[in-house]
Amino acid sequence: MKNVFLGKWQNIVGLNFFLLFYGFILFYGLKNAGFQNTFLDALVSVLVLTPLLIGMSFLLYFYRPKKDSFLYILGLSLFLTGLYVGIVKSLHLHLDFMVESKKTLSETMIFRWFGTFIIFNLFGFICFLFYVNKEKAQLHAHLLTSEKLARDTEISKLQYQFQPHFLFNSLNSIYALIGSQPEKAREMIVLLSDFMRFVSNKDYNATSTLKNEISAIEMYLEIEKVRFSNRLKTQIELMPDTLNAQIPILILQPLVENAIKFGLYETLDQVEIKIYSYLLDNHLVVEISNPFDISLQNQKKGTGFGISSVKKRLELSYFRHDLVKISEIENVFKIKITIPQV
Amino acid sequence: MIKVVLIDDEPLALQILKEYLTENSDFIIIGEAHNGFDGYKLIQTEKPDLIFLDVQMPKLSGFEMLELLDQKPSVIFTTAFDQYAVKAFEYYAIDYLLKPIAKNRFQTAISKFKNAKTLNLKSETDSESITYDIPRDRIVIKESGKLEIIYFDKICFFEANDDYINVYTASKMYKKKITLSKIEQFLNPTKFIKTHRSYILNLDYLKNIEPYEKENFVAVLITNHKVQISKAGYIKLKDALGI
Repeated sequence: MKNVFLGKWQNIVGLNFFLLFYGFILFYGLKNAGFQNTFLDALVSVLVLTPLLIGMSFLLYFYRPKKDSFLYILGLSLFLTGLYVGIVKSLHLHLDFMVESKKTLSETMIFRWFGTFIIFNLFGFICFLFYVNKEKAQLHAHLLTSEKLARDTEISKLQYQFQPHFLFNSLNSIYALIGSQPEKAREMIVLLSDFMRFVSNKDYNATSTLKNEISAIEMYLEIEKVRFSNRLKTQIELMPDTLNAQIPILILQPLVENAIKFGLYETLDQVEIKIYSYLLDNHLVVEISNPFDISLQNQKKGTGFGISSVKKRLELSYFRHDLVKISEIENVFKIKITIPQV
Repeated sequence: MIKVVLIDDEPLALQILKEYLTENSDFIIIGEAHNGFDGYKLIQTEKPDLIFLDVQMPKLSGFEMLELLDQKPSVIFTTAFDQYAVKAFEYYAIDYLLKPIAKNRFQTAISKFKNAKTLNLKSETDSESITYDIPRDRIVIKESGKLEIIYFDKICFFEANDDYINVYTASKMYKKKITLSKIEQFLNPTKFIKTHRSYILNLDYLKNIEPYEKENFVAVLITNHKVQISKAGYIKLKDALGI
């Protein structure tokens, strides 16, 4: 019911006062019929008018023609005016306390017709516009939610894919360590468990702090260091003001894995992977760099699913295409991602 | 004594293999390598009877390394990737061990090797029988003792030459022992078009097509190489270019 009559019941009450005032002025000024008569006349008019107006708003709420709405409201107003005049006329004739104003009925008839017709028209158009706007707003809100839903689904499709070979190779390393360095094996199992817990069952549309994300990356890199017996070196430098910056969950992990793939899996020598973070104009910037083997395919070309999915996710989340930048200088591959901070 | 070479890029993975092998007194480890390049050199010089070979390694994968060897030792693959198993057996692998490797599973592989040896089964790769089910983007070529890795997008065209093919890049020509129809199997068919019985062309290097003799055409590449086009090849080429 709330939505039906211009949103609120208060509006009807307000409208009635206005009409009462209008009728009172009209009749009092015109015929000098006496305060009591004019007041009664206006009151009766308003009591008749109100249900008709409510009826009109109901009608417009449930049915609005797509075409010729102007004619529709005009016709409706004419019909309701006729109905109103008919009812008022018969009330004047049959109600005892209205007998006095009966005399002036014919004289005021033209005003009754004209004034009421205008009132119905004005009211009709206001109602009409109000409902049309409301419908549009609802449609827009609906579109927004379905768009967001589609975007969320798309983002979850780009979900971080855990590399099974990483698990099996790590287990193989632990298997070897159990014989030679049982303490180290225990450490590895805890690292691997913590890392696995971190990457599984994540709400992919949420954000986390940089500190949190880096802690998982550190576990991952620690495991790789054990697997490759310290052929891997890492340098992680985070500016203190970036630690609590917000970042989409697991957005860095595929980039670090990419750095490991080209930096560690595809090269022979000692490698160093560097991660830096800093704030710039209310944006968090994270840079990840790794050396690669120039004699093999350019890393840029063979970026694969990792980097492209990160790009896509950032585009969908922030509606910007300039958040991922890649550079290759000599044998160092660097990826820089920018995360807008709210 | 059976001479063994171990090839794996992870030291801890090698450690397990060494541990297991010391319990088999008739095996002797004569060397270990951490990538395909070093593995290749080691096998050429040491001529082992058996190798334990990882698949995913820097520079040269286990499969690429095997293809380069003229005389192949017996191979037991050790890897975390189970999707390579089918391919491994096409290389007449003795066995295929998945990491982490259990001791009794390792011993089974060892007995398989011993059985094969007593039956005198030679582990030889029949390159014609290999199907390239794993997508590739490069080939490895032996060039006067050195190994060259050439990515497909650097290759202008291939030319058949008996049992060999000539591989042309913008600057150089290489020879590889493989047939043209074999190499065709692992090329991207939208990019590489077989324009002639003896030629496969990389469309990225095509400059124009010129008439040649009566009804024939010849493709001119941006490197100014000329590649023959047969009638059937002309239709394929037109299809691929959408004209």
